[in-house]
Amino acid sequence: MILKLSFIIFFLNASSLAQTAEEIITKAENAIKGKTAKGFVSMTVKTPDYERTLKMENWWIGNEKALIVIKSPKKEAGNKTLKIGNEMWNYLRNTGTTIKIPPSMMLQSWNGSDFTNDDLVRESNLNEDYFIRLIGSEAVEGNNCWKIELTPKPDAPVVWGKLEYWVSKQEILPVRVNYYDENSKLVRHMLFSENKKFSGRIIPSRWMMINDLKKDHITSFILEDMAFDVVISDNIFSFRELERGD
Amino acid sequence: MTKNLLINLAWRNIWRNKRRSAVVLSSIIVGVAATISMDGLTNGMTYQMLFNQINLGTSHIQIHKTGYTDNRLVKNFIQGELQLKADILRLPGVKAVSERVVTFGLVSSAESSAGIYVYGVDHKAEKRVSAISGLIKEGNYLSGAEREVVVGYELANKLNAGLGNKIILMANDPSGKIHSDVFRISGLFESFSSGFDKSYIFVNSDDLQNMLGLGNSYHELAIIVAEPSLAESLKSEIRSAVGSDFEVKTYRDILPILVMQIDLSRESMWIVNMIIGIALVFGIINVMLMTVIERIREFGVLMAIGFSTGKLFSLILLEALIIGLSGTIIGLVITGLIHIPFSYTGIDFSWFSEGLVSLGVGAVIYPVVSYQTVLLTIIMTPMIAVAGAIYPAIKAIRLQPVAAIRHY
Repeated sequence: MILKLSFIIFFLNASSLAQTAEEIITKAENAIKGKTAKGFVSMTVKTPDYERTLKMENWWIGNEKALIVIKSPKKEAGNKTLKIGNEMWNYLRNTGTTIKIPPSMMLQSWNGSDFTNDDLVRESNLNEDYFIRLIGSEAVEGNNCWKIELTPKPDAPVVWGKLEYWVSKQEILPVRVNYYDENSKLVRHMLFSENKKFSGRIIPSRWMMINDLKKDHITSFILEDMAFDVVISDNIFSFRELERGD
Repeated sequence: MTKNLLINLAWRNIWRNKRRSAVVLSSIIVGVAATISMDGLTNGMTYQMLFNQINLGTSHIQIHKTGYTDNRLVKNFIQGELQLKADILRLPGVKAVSERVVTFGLVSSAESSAGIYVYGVDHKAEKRVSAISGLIKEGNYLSGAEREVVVGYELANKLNAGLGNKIILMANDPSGKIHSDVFRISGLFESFSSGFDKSYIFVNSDDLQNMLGLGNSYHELAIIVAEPSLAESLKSEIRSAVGSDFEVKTYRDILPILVMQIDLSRESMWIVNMIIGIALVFGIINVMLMTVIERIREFGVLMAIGFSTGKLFSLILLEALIIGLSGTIIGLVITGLIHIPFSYTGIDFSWFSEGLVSLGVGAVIYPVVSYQTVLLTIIMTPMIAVAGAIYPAIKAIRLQPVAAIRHY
């Protein structure tokens, strides 16, 4: 009996060890993104000069489609961002106009944050754009993690020279991502923390993007309420919905 | 006989008071030198501006699809199947033709991004049309290998990218869809214009056509002709050869502001020359008046022994003419000696060149003197000297011999 049990445990362990780096990344990414997701998120942009918080409601279908509606502050409430594939439109409530984001604006900051329009639009299909390699285990902020290195494929339209991705072994959730340029200089990093349970699934509720080139430029997302793998009507991601004032 | 006498007298009078003559002479020399050097410098500067612009890619004649100049959209392309290039190369006077895919896009590195114009070119043809290949300071110009890109130093610094680093180019295809692709920096160039270095990049046309799904279509035909002056006449020939679906423009149409600036600076040179001339007239009046007042007694004696007022008048003008002529010749020789070596080595203005570089001139200016200006100076300067002597001469002939003799 005991032998049998230890056998099972051994097999469980072995299977978890046998996971490839690709699988780990896919699992971690799927955990925080889900097939579909909707919910409320607040975004705080902190720079040495100012700090501001936006509250947003958003709907996602994987990485394909997204609609983000700003709820507060009042000045920006009602502004929307629609993403379909790798294209993006901004709706401004004050003027009632929809603007398609041209390529020249793709790398401008989205709503003043450390994220660019491109970060939102890019199909960050890591498996497609990167060679993924498990390079070791490391403890990051008290979590026992896998350290995974992602190097862009030669033809992938990715600005980064290299990514380092830490995934916690226990929950298989992202903990930290480092973004390097081609000269191996750290450009920015992202931290995931404060795991919480949303609709039956435990995921990090605080995502922080820290700019390592500009001191004290931090954007943090706090997931306030999220629902995953719910049914979202395709109609939401339409111009009519975009231009419907509410 | 009397003529020789007058010339003799004038010549001797000039040499009698060397200091006085030297003052007039030097003011004329300076005037001549200033006029010609100013002309050389402004001409050099404006020609260089135009020459640089033509070399950087404007070329002598450009062909686009009608409507492209007003609205530089990717979808206003010229179909590759039309074989326009071959037709144009057949025309006499055409030296080189390059097909270019042109679009506006965004380049980005891990650290920064910039809006730029992308030129997709065939490196062999483009080498004969623009001078970019000669401006490469690091690395190499396009060689036809995949995913090469050549960027300016200023842009590379902004993106914090160097040779061999990758940059991502993002641009719209004709249907408005955004495409992005990765390129590697193969060369860095530095032109005469910092604005150009910041906002133009060059890739192989195949790569750009693939990225934008253009097939073998392109946007621009850039043509270099044997002589810039041929551009206007070739324009109408090309226009009748390609038909009305295309716009044919010469550099004068494409760079109207620069051409206007060159015309304007040429016009304004007349004003500057006039001011120098007026200053010269007053200088000569001043000195000649002095010579007349100094020599009242002498003139009185001359008149008393039967020298007519007419002769006296001519004597004074003759003196001025001799000084004017010799001043012009000496001035020309001196400016020639200064100008000729500089026209080869150029004058380095790098100590305040920032402004010149952003104007698209370059830090080193090669002066170019126009024949008209030299000719004009040769004719006008002695005349100005004579004109300056008229008033003092009138003063001299109004003298009363009796009073003048007693004047000490």
